Amino acid sequence: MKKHRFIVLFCVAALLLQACGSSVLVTQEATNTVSAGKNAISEVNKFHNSIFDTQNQLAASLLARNSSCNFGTSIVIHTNIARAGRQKKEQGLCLSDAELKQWQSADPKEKSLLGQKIDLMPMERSSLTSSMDILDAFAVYLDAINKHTASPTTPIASTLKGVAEELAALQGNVKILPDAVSSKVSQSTALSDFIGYLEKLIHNSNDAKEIAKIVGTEGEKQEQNLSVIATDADSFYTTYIASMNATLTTSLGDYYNRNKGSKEFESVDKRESFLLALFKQQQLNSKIKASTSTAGKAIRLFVSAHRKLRDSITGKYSEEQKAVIREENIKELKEGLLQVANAARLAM
Amino acid sequence: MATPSEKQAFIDALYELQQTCNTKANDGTLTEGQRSVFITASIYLTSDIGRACDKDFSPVPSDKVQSAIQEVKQATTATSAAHDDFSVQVAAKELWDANTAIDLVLD
Repeated sequence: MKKHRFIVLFCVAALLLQACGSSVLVTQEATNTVSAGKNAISEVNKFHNSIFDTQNQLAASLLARNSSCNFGTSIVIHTNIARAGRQKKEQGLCLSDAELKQWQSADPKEKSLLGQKIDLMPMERSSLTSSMDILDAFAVYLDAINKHTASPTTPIASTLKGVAEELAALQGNVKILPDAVSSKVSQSTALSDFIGYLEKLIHNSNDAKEIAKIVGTEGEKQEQNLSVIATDADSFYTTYIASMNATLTTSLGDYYNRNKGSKEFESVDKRESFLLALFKQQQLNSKIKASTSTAGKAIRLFVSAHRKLRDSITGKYSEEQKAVIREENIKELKEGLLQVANAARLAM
Repeated sequence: MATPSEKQAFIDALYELQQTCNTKANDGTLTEGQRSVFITASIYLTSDIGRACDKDFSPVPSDKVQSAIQEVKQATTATSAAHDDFSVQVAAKELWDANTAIDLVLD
């Protein structure tokens, strides 16, 4: 009789512990995902700033080192196409006022022979806000899911509703995403998908099982949409930032070549220090070409964390997650067995 | 109308040309005058890449983008081959043609 009671107690304890290990994992994955989301937002913000910093740096360097150019967000430069290889040494980078007047009144076909208009700030900050807003919205959604997993009675409908409304307002302003650089999924589709997903969660916010089902079946699509933003960040990095850096190096090299006999470079030390910085800058260019952006990496980590959370919510565990559950269960099983043994001892 | 992959192909082609121009702009076997062609090309191509990244390509006809990509590729080949006055002038002509085609997409 006592032996039978001990077995029953043991089985109940083992079943409870299995559930405990899983819920610990879900909470842990939810916390990890929220932290990965915050990291992704911070990295993407830094990345966007770096685009504009590089843009400013290149513009400032070009204007500062070419006295023929006036301050402005655009300049008109000599293309040197018509007299290739026969450039006059004294010709500056930018068109003089007299040349500008000639350029202004020229026939469109002749215009590019006389000069090329350069937009020094071609990338606008507003172009990047939608990807930032989607990431922000995703982080709010994760925070709500995190609270829900920790305590399924936590009301999340109003939070999710707020996110969905903000995203709906964004839809009209999406500029960069409909033709996201390398994406197959457009950003406007990503927005619609995400809004639809949130609406389903809002509709079922009182049903924990249904929430798990929605996250399990449609969460993957949201991860794919986030990956689009990561691909865009990589593309900006390996094309636009890389080309700005390369042009900066080239124009600084050109400046050195034109001025190496001037007072600025009068000593070997001064020349060497400038050239050393130039060679380092050139190495940075090669490094950019061979890498992905930190923003892209952070978003991918975010996606991976969300995948783990989704798997843990739906009970589809990866080998890594199973190992965590096993470890957690063994630990709790040991403690549980101790309690069972104590209970049995008391019963005896 | 241009697809996202056509936009990407356009940006990739511009980037390759810009990199080739940069290589020639830093090529010590070319004279200062010859290098200046590629320095200015590198500057305006960088601005074009930024404009392309920023632009919505969905209203741009596909054939315009495809034709510009072809022009840009020809300019890349000519730029790569530039080594004396004559070949630099050939490259400059190709760069001018490419520039015209790029402007038709971006303006």
